[in-house]
Amino acid sequence: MSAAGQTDPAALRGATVSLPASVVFRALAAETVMLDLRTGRYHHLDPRTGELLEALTQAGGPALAARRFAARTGQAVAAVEAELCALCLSLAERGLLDVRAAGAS
Amino acid sequence: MNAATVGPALSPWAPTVAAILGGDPGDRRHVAELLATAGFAPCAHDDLDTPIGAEPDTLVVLLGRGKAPERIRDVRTVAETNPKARIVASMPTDAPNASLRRALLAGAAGLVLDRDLDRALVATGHAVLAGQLAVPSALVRQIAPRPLSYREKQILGLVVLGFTNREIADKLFLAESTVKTHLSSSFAKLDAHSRSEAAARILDPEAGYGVGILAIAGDGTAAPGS
Repeated sequence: MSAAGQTDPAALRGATVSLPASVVFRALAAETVMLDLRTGRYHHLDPRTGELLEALTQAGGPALAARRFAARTGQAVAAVEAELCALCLSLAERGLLDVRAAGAS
Repeated sequence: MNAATVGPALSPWAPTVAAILGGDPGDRRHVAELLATAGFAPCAHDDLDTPIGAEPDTLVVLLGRGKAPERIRDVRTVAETNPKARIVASMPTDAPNASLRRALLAGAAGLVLDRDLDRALVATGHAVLAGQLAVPSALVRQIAPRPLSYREKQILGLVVLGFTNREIADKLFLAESTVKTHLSSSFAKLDAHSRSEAAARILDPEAGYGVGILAIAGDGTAAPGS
């Protein structure tokens, strides 16, 4: 499943995610910057969102990323997961993240 | 015969006032002589912070003895104090082009390198009074950089994010030597000599071009070789 048209972040809970080949990101001193090489556009993420993105791309999906992030920061898993799902949706809408629903081939 | 008056009443016999600021007394005297010979009415001022009551047709020649950053500060001070003045600033002969660009952004309408004062000041003064921007020709790439190709934009975009040539080559499926070739070409277009200078040309909050020059038009499906 592509996230295009998806409006419910919770539906992304079991999804797997990956960065498109044309997207790179770097954590800089005060922000994380994503660059879409197809458009040359930069997208600026605040430090918190940058950390979530890092966790998301390392884990490959919001569920595992939420558990790892929550364990590291002491935050509630459900809250982190909701935040990650919203982030997935937001990035997917901009073509900055490929999202596949759980069970999709 | 009655002469018709067109536009604002101008007196062709009144010489244009040229206020000379900054520099040392010897510099000011020399420049006053240059301008007087060309028909200006020069008057020297010591204090940069005092308004000189400049009208739009008043030329302000700002001399300096210091380095480029100090002179840029002086340009800003004079421009803020005399918002209507047409400022021509002298700049150090060895000033980097980026400094010249900053001097323009600070409010100068004309720039003359110290070594060119004798031959270029009067012409520059006339040009700015005519509403033109007058700068040394070496600055042309700073003001109007040649457009970057699709590949150059991609590579510079990654340079700005701190990627190494090897990482860029891997990401874009290019040979490292190809990355270097594209970088050399884009440095020339940006009048930069290194990746850090190129990044500064783009990112400098005061005088940088901004990352907008890396934007790729259309849907980004331009030919990879472009």
